[in-house]
Parts: sequence; C-alpha cells; structure tokens
Amino acid sequence: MKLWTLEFDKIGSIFRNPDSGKYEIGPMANRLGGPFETAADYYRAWATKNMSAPDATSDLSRQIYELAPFISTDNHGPFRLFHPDFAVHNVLVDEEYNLLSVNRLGICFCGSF
Amino acid sequence: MPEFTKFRWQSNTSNIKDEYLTHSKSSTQIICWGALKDAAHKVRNVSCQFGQQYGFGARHVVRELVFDDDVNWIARVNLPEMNLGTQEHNLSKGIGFSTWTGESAAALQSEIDTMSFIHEYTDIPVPQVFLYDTGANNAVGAPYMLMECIKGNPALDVAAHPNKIPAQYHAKYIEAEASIVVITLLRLTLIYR
Repeated sequence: MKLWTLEFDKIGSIFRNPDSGKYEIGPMANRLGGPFETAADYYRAWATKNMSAPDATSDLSRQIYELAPFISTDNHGPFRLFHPDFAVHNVLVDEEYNLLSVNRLGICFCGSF
Repeated sequence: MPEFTKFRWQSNTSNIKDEYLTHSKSSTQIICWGALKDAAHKVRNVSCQFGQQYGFGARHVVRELVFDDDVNWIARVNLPEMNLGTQEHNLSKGIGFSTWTGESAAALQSEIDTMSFIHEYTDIPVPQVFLYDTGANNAVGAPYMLMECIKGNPALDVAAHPNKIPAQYHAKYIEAEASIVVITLLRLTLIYR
C-alpha cells in the first residue's frame, strides 16, 4: 500500500482513539486548529495565523484568505497523508541506498493539494 | 538482511545555534536516565545499558540503549524549551517543563500514532515505538519514547558529496521515494538534475 492511495475525509493530524483503537483525524499538531472539513477552512486558518504574525507577509496571507475556496481542486477532499519535508535529510538508507526508514513523521498530516 | 557495516553514530550539530546546544547539554541533567533504563528493562525483561554516544538537537536528546542480548534501542527524550531572549536557562530557574502544555503532549501523541498508522497501513519503513510517555511528570522527568534503532544513515550523508547520490543507485532510490509520495518525483528531479 502506497501513501498516496490512502484517502481521508478531513484535514488534520492522525490520532489513535485510545478507547476504540481506531485512527481518527484530529486537530493539526502544529496548533493550526481543526480538523477541517474543507481545504478552504484549512487555508483560511493558515492565513489568519500568518496575518497576525509580527513579521507577516500580510498581502500574501490576505490573498490566500480570499482565494481559500479556489486553491485546491478538491475542496471537499479526499485528502491525503503527506510528509511536508520529505527529502534526503529525512530518510535513512544503507550503503546501497536501500530505504530503511522515513523520519520526522511528527510533521506529517492529512492535507489537500 | 546483512549488517550495515558502515553505520556510524553521528549527530549533526552544525546547524544548531551554540546557545541551543549549551542548553540541550545542560538539560540532560534534569533527566533521570536510570528510570528510563529501568523502563526499558521492564518492557523486554532483559537488562540494558546506555551507550556512550549522545545525539543533541535543539528539542531532543537521543541516546542508544544496548541490551545484554545485543538488541539496540533508541531513547529520544524531549528537552525543555529555551528562552533565548533572556539568555537564561529555564533549568537554572527550576522551571523545566512549565511550557510543556497539553498541546505539546498531543503533538507528540500524534507523531507516535502517525508512525503506527503508517506501519499498519503502508509498506513504508518507519521505526517501531516500544514505549513512550507524552507527559513531563513521570519518573524520567521528561516526555520520551523508546524506539527501534535503524542502522542506516541519512541519505544526505551517505554520499561522499552531499545531495549527490551515485548514478548506479539513482533509479532504486528514486523508485523507493516515489512509492511514498508522487510529488517527490518533482522534487528529486530538481535536486538531482
């Protein structure tokens, strides 16, 4: 099973329900809030947070806020789990470049494209 | 699987600010390493010792646990946040993990749950987590996880020249990465061209 084939109905981080043992989409681990039902909700939350940052690039954030419903081609999902910093520094390999492990999974979340 | 002979313990601290590194190193004093060793012993019912090596980051310290039957684990312990503005170590003020909130614990929980999710639902290799505590009020004195020791090196460092994977391994490596996420192909094309 490849990561791309897994589909989710919300944007957020993965949590395992301690009672049922089942996996659920919960709030974003990076404290952006959520879980979000639509890509637009996610982009609005992102823009709101970045607009209020002291060194904010406010024009960009404001534009993203306004364009939020149009950024993703699939506003209502399905969403996919992905690794925002997936590159050579976050994978462990042996000397023949066989992939042994993917690291820094704390930043993975289910998101839109 | 053959043992990876060129595995070497390394901790790249060159991109960490000196003040963070000093903080990280002094932070290890508040960690009760004995309690962590006991916890590991309890899980496997085999005695273990810490290796000599430390790995320091700005937010974690990592140590190797060596069991008597030659099984290796990794202990990853969270460090208290540092207040760079005041140049004062939270430790000396006895604050420790006062900034470790429910949100911090939830983020760590999600990291662990994401790892087990990927392990269960995909064939992507991720380290197994054997024991963890997302809270700071425990016998260890800090949030921690005990995990599988993967005897590999970052792909970034294996090549003699950073970012340059030898030609004979390109196809294999790119295929493996591509199976993880499609957009990676775009990125690899940019990096390795």
